Amino acid sequence: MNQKQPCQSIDDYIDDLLDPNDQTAFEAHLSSCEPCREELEIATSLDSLVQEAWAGIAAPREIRNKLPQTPKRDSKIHNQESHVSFRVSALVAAATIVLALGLMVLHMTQPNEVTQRLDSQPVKRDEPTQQRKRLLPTAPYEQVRVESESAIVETVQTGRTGFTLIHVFPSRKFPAED
Amino acid sequence: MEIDYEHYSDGLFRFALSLSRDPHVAEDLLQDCLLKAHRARNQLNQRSSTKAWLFQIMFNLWRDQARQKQQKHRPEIQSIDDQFEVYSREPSPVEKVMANETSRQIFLWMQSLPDQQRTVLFLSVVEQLNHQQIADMLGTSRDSVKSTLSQARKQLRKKIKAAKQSNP
Repeated sequence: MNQKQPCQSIDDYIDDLLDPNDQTAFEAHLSSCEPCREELEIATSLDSLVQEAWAGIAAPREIRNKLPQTPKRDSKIHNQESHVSFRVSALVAAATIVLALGLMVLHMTQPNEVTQRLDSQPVKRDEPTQQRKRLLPTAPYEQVRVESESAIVETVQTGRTGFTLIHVFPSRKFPAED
Repeated sequence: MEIDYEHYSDGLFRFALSLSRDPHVAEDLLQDCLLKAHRARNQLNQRSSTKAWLFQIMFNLWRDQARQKQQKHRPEIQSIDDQFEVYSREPSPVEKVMANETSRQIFLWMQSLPDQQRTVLFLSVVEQLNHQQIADMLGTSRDSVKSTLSQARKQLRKKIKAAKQSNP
């Protein structure tokens, strides 16, 4: 490395743009180059010199005296605003509850796809129970079965909607389950 | 949103002076800026920096004004030198001896830099805004800000070095 090249790379050194090898070489060069050391000294003190130069500048007093004041919130207006805000929040909450209830009722009164299929199919007395069971909902459900001499009553209540299916079969023709 | 205008007024005035290089224009800019900020204070997002928001308003005002006037008239640097003393805070005795002449000289050198270099140097070094904030304000990239800042520092170093050599 000759004397001229490192001096030219002082700007890159100051801006931290040199790769590690060149940086090490430049730092070694600094010990023997007075002009570079001087420039580096100027560079390191430059920011503080600039800050000092501007620190003495202040806004004119007459403008400082006329600075806009953020008005203190009038308590009456503030209370009115709070009251309006509370009423809006309450209305939104009430509307949400009504909407949720409406959706729940609508969902419960309309049979789902599975129950529609079950209802639309006429009960075939000879149809095996297993075949019909495939149409039952997959969601958790409770099944209650009561057998008497004349009939079998089967209720299925799905856990998701609470909708109850009731099937009545003549006991004598109902095939026994395994 | 409440804004402590008192807290930002000196910085905004300095920025106005850096942009316009004319103390009278800077005064008008400061008043316009504070008025505009006060009217629009509800637009200030709580997550954004109040300082950056105020400085953006100041920069936009200056840019609009400069476009309108086409910057036909440029004040002489010497007139700023005169005003430098008018707007300077009362210095301490030590500052009077040590810093005043150097500060005045640095101030003048900086004010003689090209607009972009001067503005970036001011915002970065004096107001301590980060590169991204400056890039957002000036509508440029971070790399451009870094490059401009480097050029500005280099220019100032040259002037200081030249002055040292002529007055060892």
